[in-house]
Amino acid sequence: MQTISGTIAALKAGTVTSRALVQESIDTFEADRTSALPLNAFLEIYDDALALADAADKEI
Amino acid sequence: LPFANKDNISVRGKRLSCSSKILQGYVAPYNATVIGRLLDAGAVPLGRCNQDEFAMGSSTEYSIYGPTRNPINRDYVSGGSSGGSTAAVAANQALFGLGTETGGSVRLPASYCGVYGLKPTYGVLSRWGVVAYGSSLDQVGIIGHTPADIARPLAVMCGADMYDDTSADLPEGKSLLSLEACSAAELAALRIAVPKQFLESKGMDADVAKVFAETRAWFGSKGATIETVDLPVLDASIASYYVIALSEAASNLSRFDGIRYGERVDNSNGYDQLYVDTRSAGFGPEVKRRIIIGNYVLSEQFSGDTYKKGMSVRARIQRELAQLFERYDLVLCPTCPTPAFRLGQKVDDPLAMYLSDLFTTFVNLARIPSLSVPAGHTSGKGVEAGLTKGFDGEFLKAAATGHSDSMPVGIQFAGPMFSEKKILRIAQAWEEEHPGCGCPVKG
Repeated sequence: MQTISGTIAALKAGTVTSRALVQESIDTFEADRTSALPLNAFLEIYDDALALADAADKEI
Repeated sequence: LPFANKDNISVRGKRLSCSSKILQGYVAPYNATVIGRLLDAGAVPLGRCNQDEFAMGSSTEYSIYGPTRNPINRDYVSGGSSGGSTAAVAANQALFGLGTETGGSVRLPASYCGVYGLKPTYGVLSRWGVVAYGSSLDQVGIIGHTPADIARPLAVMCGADMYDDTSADLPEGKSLLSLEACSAAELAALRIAVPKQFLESKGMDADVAKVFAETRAWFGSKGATIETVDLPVLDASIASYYVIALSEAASNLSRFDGIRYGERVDNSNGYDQLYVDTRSAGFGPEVKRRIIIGNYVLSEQFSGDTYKKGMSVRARIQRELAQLFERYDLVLCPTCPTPAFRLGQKVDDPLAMYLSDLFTTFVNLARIPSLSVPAGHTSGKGVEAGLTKGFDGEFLKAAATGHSDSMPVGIQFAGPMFSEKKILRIAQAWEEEHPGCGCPVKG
């Protein structure tokens, strides 16, 4: 489990990127979506989530 | 930072349906203020999440997309109405989540899924761009793994908004970016009220009562003063809530008529029939039930008397709680009388479902902030009911399997208006002594 403060520290240190974080979330969602009993938590992943993450990485 | 968004909060250019058939095909033309502020801070809206239709429900079973399952046991409900955002956070699909509250829709799923859930003071988070249910009660809420994980998005989103006349600044809001736990001296100085009406509630599950007793004992061990208080008006809170919320819902949802939003059913029989056909086909049974009750309460037959009585009870709750908070820092009570229940168990029993909100609605009526803290869990195979002690405890090991029969129990920390920082600091002190209690599924 990642906390926000830990994640921000990792972003600032350059050990993780915003894109990697978003991709990890998408991968976790996809693994669940194809499981035997999916949670059905997300109805839709926004199509520009990774682009927004890339923009955030540029700002960092 | 990727976050989960509820399907009733607008993101420009994205679909928004409130998990209802009537809003299929609707695309939000602008960002909700809370979304705009998060985007400005660099957060990434990952996607929209399931909910009860128009946020009317306590289990996320009243959705056209089917129910959201509980990550700790997938045969159980996630709670609602913000069950999608909450389950996504609990299952590590997002770092934090946005939900909305009218009567407990963030705290209830947080309690069922074993994460923290905050309902802020009414007005602290703008409602601009959020689909209305009961406008005098509605408030955006935040779901996270720790109090600090809630404090940071709150700091970014809070504050008055020119598009929402009921919005307000949160004193010391920006200082929430770095949340510090209460010191031992501050904990020892706390004065905590426990309403007798909740303590003696007949429907309280024995394991929930045990976790509640252990939570009180923890505060006692820190030197805090805990006193039982008698607030008889709380017995009327759920009735008052449903009168007010459903009256406002009947009015708010009148805009979904097939002309301005979403799907239209037009059989060329004139406008009146178009409204009837569209609404009959577009709304689910629970939404129809609440609109009918709301319109009945507001009907000429009653001259609005029932609504006025509901408002009168609400005024008393606000007044008596304000007086209580002159003497106490915190009200402590379980988030829900029972833990999460099995899928389908209450879906055909509206009254049983409504009673899930027994301990949450007074907070919305009084417009005060309250945090559901994942304090403990019920008993199960090899797991004894009690406080959640940490990552290596039996409960979190069972929870990580996705089919635990021991379920989380949330306890509410409620404070006076604009006391978010204090509540979160107290909860952070709790978190530091119970690490991982808000992380039911270890990632």
